[in-house]
Amino acid sequence: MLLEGKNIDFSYGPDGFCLSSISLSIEKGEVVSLIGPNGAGKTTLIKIFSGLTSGYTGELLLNSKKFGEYKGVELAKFISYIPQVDMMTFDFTVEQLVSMGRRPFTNETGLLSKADIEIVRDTIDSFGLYNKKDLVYNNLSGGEKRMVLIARAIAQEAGLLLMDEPMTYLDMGHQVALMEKIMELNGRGRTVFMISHGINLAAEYVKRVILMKNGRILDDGTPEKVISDDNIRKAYGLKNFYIEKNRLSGRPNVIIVPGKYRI
Amino acid sequence: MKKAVLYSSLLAILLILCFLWAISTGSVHISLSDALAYLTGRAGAQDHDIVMKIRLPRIIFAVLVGGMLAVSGVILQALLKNPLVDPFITGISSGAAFGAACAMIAGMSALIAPSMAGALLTMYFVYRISKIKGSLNITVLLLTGVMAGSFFSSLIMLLNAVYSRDLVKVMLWLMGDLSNINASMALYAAAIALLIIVFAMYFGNDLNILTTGEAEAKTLGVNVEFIKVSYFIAASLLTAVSVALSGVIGFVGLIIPHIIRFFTGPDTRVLVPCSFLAGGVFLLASDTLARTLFLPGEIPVGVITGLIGVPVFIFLMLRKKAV
Repeated sequence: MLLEGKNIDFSYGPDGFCLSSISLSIEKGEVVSLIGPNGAGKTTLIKIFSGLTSGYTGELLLNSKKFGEYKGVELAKFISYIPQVDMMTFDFTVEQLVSMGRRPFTNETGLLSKADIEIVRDTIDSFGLYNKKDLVYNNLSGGEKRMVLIARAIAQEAGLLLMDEPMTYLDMGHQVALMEKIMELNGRGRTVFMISHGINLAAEYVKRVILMKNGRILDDGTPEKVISDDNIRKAYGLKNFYIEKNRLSGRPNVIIVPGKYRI
Repeated sequence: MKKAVLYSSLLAILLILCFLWAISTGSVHISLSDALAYLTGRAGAQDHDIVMKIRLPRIIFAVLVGGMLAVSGVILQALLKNPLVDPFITGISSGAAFGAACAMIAGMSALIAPSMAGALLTMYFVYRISKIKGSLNITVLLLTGVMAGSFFSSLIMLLNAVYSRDLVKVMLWLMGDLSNINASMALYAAAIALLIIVFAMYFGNDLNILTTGEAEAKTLGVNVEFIKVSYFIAASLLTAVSVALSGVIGFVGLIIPHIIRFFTGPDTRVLVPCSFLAGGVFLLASDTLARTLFLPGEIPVGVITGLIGVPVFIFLMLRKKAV
């Protein structure tokens, strides 16, 4: 068991939004998609599980050790949080950004050893970005930007990648390319826990889906189990849709139907 | 790091050229060879004193103050994640000036500590007011900063009207003025500047990471709270010392980091030393102009930096489109 939360409760204040009794565990080597409607608490949950948000009650364990017991950069050697950043304030280059991933292994100055530089360059290369290493992040395309931030997390050598909606703003082609990349990283031993807003894409690739609504976990299991008529109706308030099996993969796909058609 | 060495060397050469210009120009004409001779120990009557007791200390002050303001600008821009801020625009300089003015009226001679208190308090309030629902609203920050600036200038004028009435001197000080030199403070200033620069470079990588996002910085193992608080203190200390030395000089902290970043990129570890040197060059050149353009009179150096700084600010704002 890699990451485990037991009875996590969290709220943003007396009338604020809250998470209630979240219990889940992520096993080493899994790719897990977190789905659910807007405001379900997905981002809050991911942030708590990355160690970014504290103030929750319940128990959060990494390799059976409490989060609080990891000091300083220790947690950074296990968990990497990948946000989606569209524009940065300053014009850092691809190589500079990926180099930041080595922070847990250098001292405060961040000066890299020869070995560090090699890791950074190899990582950039493995994302097919080597000829763009000196380009400025802000000038890259949306898909490349996402790749750079994931590359930074890979240079960080953390085994567990937590991603906040990595597919947002990407076109269909880049979404698939990114998903393939995530599965490839999984094949090389990374555990991935990500928020997915495209249910169908998630269903095609991952083996486990967690569905959230109103700060609670509604269902957790294989795509076939979680993406059911009943769950989609309950979670998203959708009425006009049907679920179909992809005839090649056998995975469930939600097909949306305009209101004028009768199901 | 190659870039840091290359650009620092270029800027050091520029600083030497600027020094040679400043030491040999002024209301009294002293040739460069004479000035250099006085600097290297030749004795002399009046000219010797002009070079050694008036021009040299003033040059050192200009370089120190310019450098400190520029580094303060580098730090603030990174911390507030906006390239349009500097100690002047955020009202921190005026807060520091108010602190120093209170101390002057109370008859204190140590200005750095009260100036520092004014800078820190102003920074704290401006930051708190602009933090709306957990995220920094940069428009509110800029407006609050400008308002804080006006407010403190009014307060200083008011204090002055009640207690001393030397309006011209206060006006000069509010515009930034290097003509009033207090040599004993230069040593403190230099020591503080050196310490902060070393600190700012040492933790520069963490500040770089912080500008790419607080959450990412945290999960990369950066001690975010420590970095934020200590850089805020560093920036206000630099501002406070420069205000205590020379009043409110605007826009150095805005322009210099921009120009340097254009050449070196945004790495704080390179920006800090290069901006220090460039700030020194810029303020020394501005001050030399301020004291020689309208001979035999002299204008506050803040007039020159303002005349250059405001158009540059507008240009940068338009280029960025959104503030």
